[in-house]
Amino acid sequence: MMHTFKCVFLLIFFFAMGNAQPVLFETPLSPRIANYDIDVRLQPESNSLQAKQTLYWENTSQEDVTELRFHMYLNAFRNNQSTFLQYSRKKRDKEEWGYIKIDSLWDTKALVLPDQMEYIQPDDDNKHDKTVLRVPLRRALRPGEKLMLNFIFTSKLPEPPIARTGASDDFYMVGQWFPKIGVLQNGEWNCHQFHRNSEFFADFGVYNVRITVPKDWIVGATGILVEKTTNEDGTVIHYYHAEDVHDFAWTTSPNFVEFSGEADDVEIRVLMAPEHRGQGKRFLKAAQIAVQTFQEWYGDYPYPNLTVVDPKPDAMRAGGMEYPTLITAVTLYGLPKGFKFVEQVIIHEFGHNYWYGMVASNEFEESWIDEGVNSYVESRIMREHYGESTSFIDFCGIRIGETDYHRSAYLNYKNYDPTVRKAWEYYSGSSYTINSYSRPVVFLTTLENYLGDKVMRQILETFFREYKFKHPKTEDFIKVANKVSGQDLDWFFEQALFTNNVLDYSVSYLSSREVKNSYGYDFNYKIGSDSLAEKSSDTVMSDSSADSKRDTLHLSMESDVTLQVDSTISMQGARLDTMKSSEEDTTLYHTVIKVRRVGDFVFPVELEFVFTEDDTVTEKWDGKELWTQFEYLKPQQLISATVDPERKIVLDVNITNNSKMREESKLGPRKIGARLLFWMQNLLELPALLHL
Amino acid sequence: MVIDCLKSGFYKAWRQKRMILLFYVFNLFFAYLLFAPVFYRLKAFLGDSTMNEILGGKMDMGFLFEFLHYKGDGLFAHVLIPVVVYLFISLFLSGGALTVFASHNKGTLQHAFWGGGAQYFARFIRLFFWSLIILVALLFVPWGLFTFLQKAIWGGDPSQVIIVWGFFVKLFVTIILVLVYAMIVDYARIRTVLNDEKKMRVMIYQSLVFVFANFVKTFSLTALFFFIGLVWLVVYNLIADFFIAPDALVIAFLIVTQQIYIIARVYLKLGRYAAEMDLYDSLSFSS
Repeated sequence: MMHTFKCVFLLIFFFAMGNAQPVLFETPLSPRIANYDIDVRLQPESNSLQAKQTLYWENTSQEDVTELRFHMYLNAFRNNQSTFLQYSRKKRDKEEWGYIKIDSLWDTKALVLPDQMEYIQPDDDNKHDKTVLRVPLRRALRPGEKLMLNFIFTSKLPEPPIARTGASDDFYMVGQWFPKIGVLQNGEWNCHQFHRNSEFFADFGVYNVRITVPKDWIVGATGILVEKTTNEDGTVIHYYHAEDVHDFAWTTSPNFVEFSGEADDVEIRVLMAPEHRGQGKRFLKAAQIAVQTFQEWYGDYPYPNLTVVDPKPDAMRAGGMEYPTLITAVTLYGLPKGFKFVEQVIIHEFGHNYWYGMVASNEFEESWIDEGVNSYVESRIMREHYGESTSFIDFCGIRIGETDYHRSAYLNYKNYDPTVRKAWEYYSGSSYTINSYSRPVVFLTTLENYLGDKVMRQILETFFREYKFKHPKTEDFIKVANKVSGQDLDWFFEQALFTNNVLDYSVSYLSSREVKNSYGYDFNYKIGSDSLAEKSSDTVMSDSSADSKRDTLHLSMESDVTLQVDSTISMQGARLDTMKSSEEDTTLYHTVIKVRRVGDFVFPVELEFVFTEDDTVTEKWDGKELWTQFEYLKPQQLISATVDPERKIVLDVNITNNSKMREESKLGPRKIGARLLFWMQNLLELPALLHL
Repeated sequence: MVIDCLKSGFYKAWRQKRMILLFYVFNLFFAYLLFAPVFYRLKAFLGDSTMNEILGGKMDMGFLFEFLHYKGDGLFAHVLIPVVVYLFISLFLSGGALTVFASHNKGTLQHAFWGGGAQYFARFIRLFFWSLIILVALLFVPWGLFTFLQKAIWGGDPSQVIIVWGFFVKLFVTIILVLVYAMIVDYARIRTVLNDEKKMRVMIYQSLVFVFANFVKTFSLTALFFFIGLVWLVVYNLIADFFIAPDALVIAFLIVTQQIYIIARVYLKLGRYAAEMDLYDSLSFSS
């Protein structure tokens, strides 16, 4: 299946005649709603773009459309009053501002009213923000009716780049640079302003973009290069064609160092900044791992190529961004291989070609779907290829895994917001970042451990298959997860996505005491003769068919609320032990373990009670009540009790309180203490090392 | 001459085992002051968790992040105060050690050491503060002058190659200049003890002249001690890497190894004092 499309592409492409557009996919992969032909000329002396754009747009809704809305993203950098920059304190030079302005707009049916177009602010009423343009129509556009709109526009790119677009000397990363129509959903425009924390949302289409740049400048862009034509003035037109994508970005510089390779049937081109040329193969290898693993795990990457851009060092803010078939990475000169963020960024940004690129969720409103799912997958791949505990840093004895990194980030903002929020409504930029990236990694890894790796992979594979080239929402993801797992996981997603609940279980109490004869007054038994052991024995003998029995006790908590709490009494142990007891006079121990749900997040937990190396009892608790208690009568004393012994529940915000030992181990503290003391001794002697 | 001084320094320091022990005990005591609040926070956080046992093996990064998140507040302040106090105690101890070496091992440790420490303590504090001017002036070379030159040659936004290699060059030069600074302070202290000098500004100046007048020899000796210190550090790390098993005996070996290393560092420091004093004597005599 994967190769069929690409073979069709090759055949049709090579036999395309005259001015006919090349065809990548014989059958469109997506509803091609917004299609663009753009001629753009880069003017390096002013960091500006002069462009002519034709938009072919179709009203695919069931409603009449009376106006059009466009994203004018570059106006976010127009001045310090825009919604994007209004809280920025940085003073900017003239070159640092960017903008987009429409010089002319018309259509063949004379439907648009350019003299009535206006900037609107649907999100925050900030009248200074000019990132959404409303264009009224002379008459309503009926369902199914098509429109061909022509624009002449000018874009000024900020230098240095902001929000992954802009210029730096002769390096250009050109993203969000053209008037881009919003998404019409159920007769309503979904066209948000450009916020500091938001990304993008658009409809799929076909792009034919002719990019004119100075001679000998190297160009990388979304789609495939169709042809290069040299103009009389010495400039060169690079004609790129892309199908079934919802954005188009490009980069150019005379200084790129090119590397190329392939993964499966995907051609990979890496454009490195000269300073980083030594890392070209590293970039290529990471991209190959990304392409191969995604295709193997989730499905076909239908496009024939991928371009990886390494922005020049002083344009690092252009790095770490995803566009269809083109991604930007980031590195530092001489970065040791032990720091894996080159690989992390490349795998992450390529992953967006699946989660955002093809599965085109709304990044403004539900950033967790693209960023969160993608960060989880990235972390999964990193763990697979670079080791569980070394997938983030493995340098000079310091080893940090991706999961630990994301969990530590999550701890800092664990309850500020629910995961699902509009991007600009989070408590802070950090809360947006944590809830969009790290928290989903943590809860999806927890879900992976709960359902199993195979099921989790199937969920994502199905989600991709069913929603590629569509605009899925959170409920679609949950629906797929429920269907594939065969379980109702609403309880999990409700907490993980729509609340700020934290998950924390702890072993709060344990005792394991020798069962002794009763002393004092007891009106039911003879003083000093009846033992608990005998009592247990009687109980078990009356129900010897049961290996173990679940009993419901009514236990009163401090709040005077009486709740039903599950309590497990191991009767098998008691029966055997009691029989031994009578023959060999073995001592019995009464063990009590109390486990608490400290956080609000309810999650079923496994418990492990270690009596001896050969006698470990595993229990399960649904975790719903505030606490539960387990009791055992055994000839062995309890050594330790642990909630989630395999540490599957990465969401647990405190793993240290997950366990208790009856006798505290001194091994760890001694070792850490020894090292700590030694570090302190060294700290004091550090000046002496330099002879101070 | 330099090698002879090195040998003689080590020999003289070796003869002062009680002084080595004293320096070591002070180091251990102040390290404990630093260690205790962190360690008891850690112990309290660990409680009777099985994490106690897990940490007997390799460091658990998940736990470390968790500990720093829940209990990391104010740790820096806990550490800073004892470090500053130890710096001044070290000035006292260095006065004692130099007096002992200057007395050519005559008299008892108690008299020479404690008397010398007390006698020169105030002067060494003044010397330390005056010497900071020298330190700032020296450090201006890599971090001020070099940065200025870098900007003048490559502009305000130089290539990352320049930034990275520039950093390493600055770091290397900084180490050299800190060694030079240390030499100036050491010889100023030696001169103060030998001549019972009281004017510390003068001592710094005279030491500066002495160091640069005999730069090859003074720097060679200092660099040798620095290099030996680095070798010991590497050797320690190679040995310590073996002690990772979560076993009580292994941990005991680790502790012993660590303390031997610290004692070796103390011995090295005292050896340097003695060697520098010998070199100063030799050069002063020959001139």
